[in-house]
Amino acid sequence: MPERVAIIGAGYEGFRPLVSDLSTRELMFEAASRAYDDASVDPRRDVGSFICCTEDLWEGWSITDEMVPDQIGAAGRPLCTIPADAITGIGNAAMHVLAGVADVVVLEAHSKAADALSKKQIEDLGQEPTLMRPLGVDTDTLAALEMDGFLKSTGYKVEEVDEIVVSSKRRAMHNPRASFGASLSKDEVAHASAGSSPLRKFDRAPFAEAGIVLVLASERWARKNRCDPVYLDAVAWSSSLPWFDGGGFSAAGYAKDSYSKAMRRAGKKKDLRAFDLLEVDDTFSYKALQHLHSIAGSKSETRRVIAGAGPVLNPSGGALGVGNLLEASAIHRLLECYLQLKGQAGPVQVKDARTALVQSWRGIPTATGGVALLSR
Amino acid sequence: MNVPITERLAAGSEVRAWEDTIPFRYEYTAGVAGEKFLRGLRDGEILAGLCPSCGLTSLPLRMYCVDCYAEVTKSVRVRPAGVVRALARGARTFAYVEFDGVKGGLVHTLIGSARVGSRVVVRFRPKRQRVGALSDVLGFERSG
Ligand SMILES: [Zn+2]
Repeated sequence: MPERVAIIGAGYEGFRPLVSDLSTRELMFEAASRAYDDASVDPRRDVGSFICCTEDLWEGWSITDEMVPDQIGAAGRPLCTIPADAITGIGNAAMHVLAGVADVVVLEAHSKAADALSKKQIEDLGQEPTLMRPLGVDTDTLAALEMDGFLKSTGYKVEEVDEIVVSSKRRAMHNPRASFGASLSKDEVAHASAGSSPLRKFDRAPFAEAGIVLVLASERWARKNRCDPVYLDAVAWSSSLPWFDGGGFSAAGYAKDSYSKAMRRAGKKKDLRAFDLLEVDDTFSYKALQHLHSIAGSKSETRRVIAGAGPVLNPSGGALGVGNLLEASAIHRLLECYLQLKGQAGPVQVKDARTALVQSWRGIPTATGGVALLSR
Repeated sequence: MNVPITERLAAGSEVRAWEDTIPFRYEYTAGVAGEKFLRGLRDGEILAGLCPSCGLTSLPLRMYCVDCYAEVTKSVRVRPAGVVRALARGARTFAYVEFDGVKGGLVHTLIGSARVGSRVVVRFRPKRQRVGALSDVLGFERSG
């Protein structure tokens, strides 16, 4: 097995629909301070590289790189921003460590979604300008089309989607980081209003705000400094063809490819039974089913996991329960797994959790996502 | 060192926000392949790219092959009849339609009714009203 990357600390702040008392920078400062405390590192002395995942349109501020360093202790130090979901960010952080660029690397991502008053317009700007945007198709409509195509091409029932919503919302009731926990019946999910059928109200994760920071280090550095880390055994990410360009509905190519590559890198055979828990992207309910199906490889295996006869699926309550955290989506899932493997997940703790899989996606209209494998 | 914020706001009346807008305008270049596709619409045709290297026929029309990355200079006229692969029903109904032998497809309005699996045809605007834009297509309509 190749050298692993250690996650030696984590910190976060927010996890509410609206963090009205803190600016974006203060939210980052708060999360970073806690992560440095957790990792027992001094950012001004110990950290060799900082990575922040953020997208200018969501910030409402261009050239975001310029507003990142100070609040995470990176002034005058090597820093870059990556306009992508933090699954790509942790991939880059791991490369910095493994390539010897830095012994200690900080990864930050956040969502200040409530600050963006024109969320729908920002989302719509993700669409191709000549062939998609003129149609006036919004994100919910694209999601509805994909949901319809996925269910029709695979034969999964909409009731199976309902089940994912119900269990995620229920799990979220116990997660202190979740704002959208609820005790819903399948009937309430099935009969919720639909702006664009088959997509219903509860099929989409509402936005939430949070700042999250992870501190990564080389295995050697972590041992030398007597850390008690969670290990990042492998990470992989890819972009495949979106369904409207011929990528197909039944499987998410990016999830399938990333899972295969990550498992190969970790020297593991493709089998979800190798994990105690999975944090799989469920920005939309049907995507959780599609993503799980893409990595499980079969309907029977997917159904086995959903039935609870395998690794625990989204013990955090997922994005459906915690909220859509924009580019911080993956780092939230990594945080939940970090806490789980450290035995610090509190009321949502999975008993004896030793291994976890994170799968993340950048959202509509992308076909970009990745997989990270963690253990302790 | 590493101390989080110690003085937090404690009253809603202390919370302030500043509202601003960002005025952006763009002119998106259609490009060589894009222009060919839009001219095709004006002529009442759906043009797909034909890869000279791997033979893949794909939509949307691009200058390069998504599979093998060869330069694509040839386009082929697609028979404007396809199959509905997905539907989204709201104030308007949208359909994603794929065409025989073509990778990829088109999203557009559904005219009338159809189901996933239905065969549909592309309905164009009358010739004199076409301008070389996606709006030259009115939508998909069930065939036969
Ligand atoms: Zn080719």
